[in-house]
Amino acid sequence: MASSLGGASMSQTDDFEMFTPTTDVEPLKRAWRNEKAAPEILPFEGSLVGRIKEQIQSMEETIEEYSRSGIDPLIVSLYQMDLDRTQFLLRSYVRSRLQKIEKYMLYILKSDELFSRLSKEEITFTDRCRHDMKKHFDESVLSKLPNNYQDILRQSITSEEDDMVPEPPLDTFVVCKSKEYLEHIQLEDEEERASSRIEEPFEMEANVLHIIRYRPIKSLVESGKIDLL
Amino acid sequence: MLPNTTETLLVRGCCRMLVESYRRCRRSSIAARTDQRHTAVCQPPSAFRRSTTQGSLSLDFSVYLCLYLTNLQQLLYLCPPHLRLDASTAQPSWTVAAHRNLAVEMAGQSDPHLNLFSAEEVEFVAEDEMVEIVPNMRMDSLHLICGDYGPFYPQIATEVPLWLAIALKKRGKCAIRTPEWMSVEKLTQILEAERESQGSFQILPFHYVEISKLLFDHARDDVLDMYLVRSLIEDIRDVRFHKVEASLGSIDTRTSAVKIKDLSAMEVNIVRPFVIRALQAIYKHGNPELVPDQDRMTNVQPQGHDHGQRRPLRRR
Repeated sequence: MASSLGGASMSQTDDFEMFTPTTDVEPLKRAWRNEKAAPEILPFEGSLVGRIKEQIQSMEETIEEYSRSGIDPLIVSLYQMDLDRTQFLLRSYVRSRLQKIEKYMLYILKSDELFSRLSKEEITFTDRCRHDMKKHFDESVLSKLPNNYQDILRQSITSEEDDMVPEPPLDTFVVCKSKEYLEHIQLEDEEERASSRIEEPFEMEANVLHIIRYRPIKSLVESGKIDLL
Repeated sequence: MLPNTTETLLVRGCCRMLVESYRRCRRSSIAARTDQRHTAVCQPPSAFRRSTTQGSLSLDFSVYLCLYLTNLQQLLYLCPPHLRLDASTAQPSWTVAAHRNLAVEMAGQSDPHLNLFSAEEVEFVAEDEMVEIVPNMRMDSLHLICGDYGPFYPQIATEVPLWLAIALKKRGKCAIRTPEWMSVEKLTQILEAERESQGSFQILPFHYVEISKLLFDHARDDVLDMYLVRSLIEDIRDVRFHKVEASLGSIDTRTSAVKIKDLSAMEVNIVRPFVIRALQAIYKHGNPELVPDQDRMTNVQPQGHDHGQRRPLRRR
């Protein structure tokens, strides 16, 4: 059941975005916003990050060359600002991924799907992070506990499954926007629908903000149809 | 499955409480802004500070705290940093910077996932919006990572991102053309329409709060009737916020998604922690298996204790 906080048509800035020339910065900004807003780790934008890195490097070279050849300091400073902005985006993107990895590494290591979303560097980071954390816990706490309670994943040896692995909160709510008209979004989970309230399929108009539970739209975020913000 | 009556009432009460505390926060921030000198902002209630040092927060308390922080965040965003926030208490330490530090410190204790983007990050995104400038010098095209702009000729208008416009403006190299919607005429229309239509919001650029703020800060001389425009925009924001509050009251136990048409970036960012927390609470109450089973937990423990106490008695 959607309750509406407003009416009227689509906003002006969205018209705008269609006319701006396409660069790699827009997709990076999108990836950054999605990554910051999504509760779980999203697939790593490898080729995009690669291209951005190349551009950053060539921009650094250009700036160095310009400042050596005595071009107007104003122009150099503008290029420098542009570089700083792009670097901020990239760093913030990478950093928010690392934060998620630190938080949910045990879960990520258990799930093949999530693990396959990491970049090579992130895999190294995850392994080292896990190793260090285990070592730290072993040395400071776990080795002093009775034998049954020394596992890092389980509360005690009698637990049937790993019950001390923090999981990303997929049932949290996110603010999102669809690029196109989407219909037949199932807001309810399978069992819930069978057991309970009859819910008509949910529709989303293009470019209208919605606050919605993350789990039902997870696949749409991954396929790029819905943007988080 | 709809929650049973007690739980429905609980959720309703919870929502009402959330809305109430939200209004209280809003009132204090509006009161602060209507003060001409932008000086009288409340200090955080001393209870806040106590609670954060003790590190334990009850639910309603943390909700209130969270709201206070988001309002503070918004307020700090709008205040020039050198202004003292609370003149009456004359405590030299309570500058904006001190508030900001406190906000950061306290935010560490609330759920970081709810405060996804800082006001500065929202502003960063807004700086990529395009504006028209009139340069007063000759400059070749700029081939930036975010796109190609220029070439620039004196007196010939061209479009650039806001950050570039501000950088040029700061060095006195151009005049920024105020966007069309930032005229007194347009804004008066919008304000009137905003007051008349209760259910919906007028169409304003997604980043209108940030764009207008940046222009007020960096291009005062380019904005016609700046003081009037500024107060119009503040009025519009207040009317819109009042509407947001009103519509928040319509969230009930059957709400599983909220549609927000034409709300701007900063407005979304401010209500986000509040709405998400409320929706999460409702979702949890609608799904009993997600709520930790309190009955079982409390039943098990006393039984264990009982046995422990009885045994020695029997032995005697």
